[in-house]
Amino acid sequence: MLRDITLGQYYPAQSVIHKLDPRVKLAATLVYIISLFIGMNVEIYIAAALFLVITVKLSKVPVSYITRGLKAIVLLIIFSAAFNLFLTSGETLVSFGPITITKEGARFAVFMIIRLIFLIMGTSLLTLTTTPNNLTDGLEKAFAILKVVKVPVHEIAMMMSIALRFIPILVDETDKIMKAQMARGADFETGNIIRRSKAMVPILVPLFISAFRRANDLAMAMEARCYHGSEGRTKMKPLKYTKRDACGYISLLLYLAVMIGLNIYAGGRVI
Amino acid sequence: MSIVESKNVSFVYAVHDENGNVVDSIRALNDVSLKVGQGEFITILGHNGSGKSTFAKHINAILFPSGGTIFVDGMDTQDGEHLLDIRQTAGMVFQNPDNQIIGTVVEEEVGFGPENLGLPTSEIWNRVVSALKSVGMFEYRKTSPNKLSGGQKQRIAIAGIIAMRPKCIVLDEPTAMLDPQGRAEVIKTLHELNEKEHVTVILITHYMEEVIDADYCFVMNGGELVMEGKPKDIFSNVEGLKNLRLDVPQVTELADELIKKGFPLPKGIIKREQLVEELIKLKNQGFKAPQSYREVEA
Amino acid sequence: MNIKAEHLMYVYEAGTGYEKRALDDVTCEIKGGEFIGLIGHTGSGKSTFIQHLNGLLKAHSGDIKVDDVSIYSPGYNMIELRSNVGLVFQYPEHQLFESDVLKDVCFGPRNLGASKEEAEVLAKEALASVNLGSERFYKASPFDLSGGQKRRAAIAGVLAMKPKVLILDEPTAGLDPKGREEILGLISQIHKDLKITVILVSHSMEDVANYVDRLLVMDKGVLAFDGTPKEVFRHYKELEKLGLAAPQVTYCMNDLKAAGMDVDTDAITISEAVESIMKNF
Repeated sequence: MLRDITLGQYYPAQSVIHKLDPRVKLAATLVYIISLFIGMNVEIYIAAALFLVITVKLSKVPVSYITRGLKAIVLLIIFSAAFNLFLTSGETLVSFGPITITKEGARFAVFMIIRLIFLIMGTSLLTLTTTPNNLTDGLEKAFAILKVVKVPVHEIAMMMSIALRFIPILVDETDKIMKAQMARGADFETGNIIRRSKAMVPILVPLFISAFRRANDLAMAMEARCYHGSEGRTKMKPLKYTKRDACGYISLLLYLAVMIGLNIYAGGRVI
Repeated sequence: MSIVESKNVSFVYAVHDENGNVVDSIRALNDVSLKVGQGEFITILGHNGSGKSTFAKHINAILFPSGGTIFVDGMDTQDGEHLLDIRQTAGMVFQNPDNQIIGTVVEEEVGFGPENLGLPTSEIWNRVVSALKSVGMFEYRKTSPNKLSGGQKQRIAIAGIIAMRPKCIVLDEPTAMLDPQGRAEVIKTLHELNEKEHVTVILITHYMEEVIDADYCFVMNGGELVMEGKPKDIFSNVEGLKNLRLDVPQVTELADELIKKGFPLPKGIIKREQLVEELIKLKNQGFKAPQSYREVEA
Repeated sequence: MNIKAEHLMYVYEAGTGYEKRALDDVTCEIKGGEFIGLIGHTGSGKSTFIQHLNGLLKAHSGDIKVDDVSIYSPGYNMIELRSNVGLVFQYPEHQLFESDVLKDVCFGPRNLGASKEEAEVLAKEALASVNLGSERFYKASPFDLSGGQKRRAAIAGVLAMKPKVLILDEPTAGLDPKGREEILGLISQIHKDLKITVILVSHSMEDVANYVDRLLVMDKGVLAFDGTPKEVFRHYKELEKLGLAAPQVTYCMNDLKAAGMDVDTDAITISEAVESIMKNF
């Protein structure tokens, strides 16, 4: 079950999206997130869905691979939907006992689910199509301006890329430790919240120890390979904008324009 | 000139308690002196905790001697000015393949070292391509390291070092976590690099089979060098090795048992063909096993 | 305790493009008190197989019967199964987590419902059987032990549940020659003293040849060979095709035979080889 986490994982493929400059993809992700919050009506959501479908198609990442990432956040989706469903005031749809479901609540819940799904799918597409190194190069370049005010942009970017590389390894490790403790009769599935969180200790302690050991080893291996920060470091894959990226930016602008247009057309109407 | 020269190297570290007070000091290396010539294939044997890994980290200037000096290609490792040169000259591969891979794509991983050296982009690519070819992993250049086997991961780690064009590679138990197939792959790769590209190899291990084809072998125990010599000389001393928590290849042990039974076999047989040849020779000479054994049998 | 695996089938990543049969129609019976070696190269399915035996993985088809009761029958007590079939994972020291060794070894028995006192008795017994049975070790932090000691403490953690079957996944990985010998000697001792079934997963043919009575060889999810070590190593040419090999002595004996000497090619240990060679002189 833990293996389902696709967050931050890279899916190797040769596609237009994979080849785009990471800065374009970062901008696109930002624009996409903003667009999901522009308004809340059917037209906007259809446009957002269309944009997502086209990008996924172009990226050649199997849909099943992207949706697998959703399993990990099912709980979050259910929670936020329930929150909206029960706590929105308005015209009563059904009510049983103290619980009332309103028309507005139902609508909000549906949209919240869609919004979250789009959000996760859109952002996971960024990491699925961009290698962590590429992504950090992009971030480093995009935030290079912060270097002026002594923000260690390179170091932060490097840490991020290492964290992304170690996610699958630590997920595997968690799985292994869990099984090892289950083999010793540990039970993670029954009991109340307190019992269950106490049951986590035999997993978390070994996991932390192993993470520290790995961090220590990795730091040594990096030093042994002459890593000494960004100073005097060159790039194997320097970022350079191409025509493709220009097209990317233009499509992005168009998309944003369409979304704003749709919102004006709908007059800020909700649903 | 020797590529690595260790002169009376000692290493002492302090043990702290929970409050940060020094409670003990441990001497992990004691007066280690050795020389490794350019282009040699050297192994350092020793049980866990014998100090062999600590010594390896000194060659790459990750640890520095408390006493004595280590020279890498004529440079003193304690000379801060040459730190990066030393690390580039003597590259290091570690035990756990997962904990030394930084990149998420094989080619980016191999390019990490050259990037740190500040090489121009085109040169980085040349080196990455040739390094991957020299370890036979070129076809995997676009793959994620997580999808590779342990042996393949270690070959990538070796390529990552080779791409920095070192004169010497130090490998700290690179096969300890691998299966027999992975071990064989890694050792074969190292011999190829040593023969074709004349890279000096310093292999730290406790697998006896990996020592057989080396040019020279050092044995460590308790932070000291206790034996050195050609593999066949080292393996002539079966009892001595066993006392050091080590072992000998099964063929050597078989020959040793036969010697104990009175067979006039030469010491230090390390290969199967050798043993077969010697036994056939004895048979043709009409050698008879000592009577005492036959009586026990009867 | 008898375990019968019947036509086990297990597929990794079912339903995605990456489907891979990790177990393919595996059938075998493990009788009480046997000492079994399980070999196969990485990815042959041996780890998957042993995780089925204590119910950590559930077969997609096929059945496992413990003393003729299917572990897949509704309401089967999985926790009890896991205490009966103790599984020691690779690098088991990575699962240690308590502040002292004794507490850590108590973890298993406590999970099975033992009181603190009962658990401590069991834990002390288990620690004694791995040669860590002294006050000095009880109170030590597991993280201060040496590599070999940590591993033994972790094995005690499983032994304390009084398993009737003990499965060890490459218990010697990463240890030096002496450490390997110590662990294997210990396991053999435990097998003798406690009269339990032991399944030893290993890469080293020399190790299994010296200790086990029966050998299972897996390849690509299939049980390729099942027999005594001698029987299995007779097929050394086929084993090579599976990325495995016979012990070095077996090769020696075959070479000697080929060179015209009358030796027993079934010899798989040094003492057997010595004896057979002596007969020629």
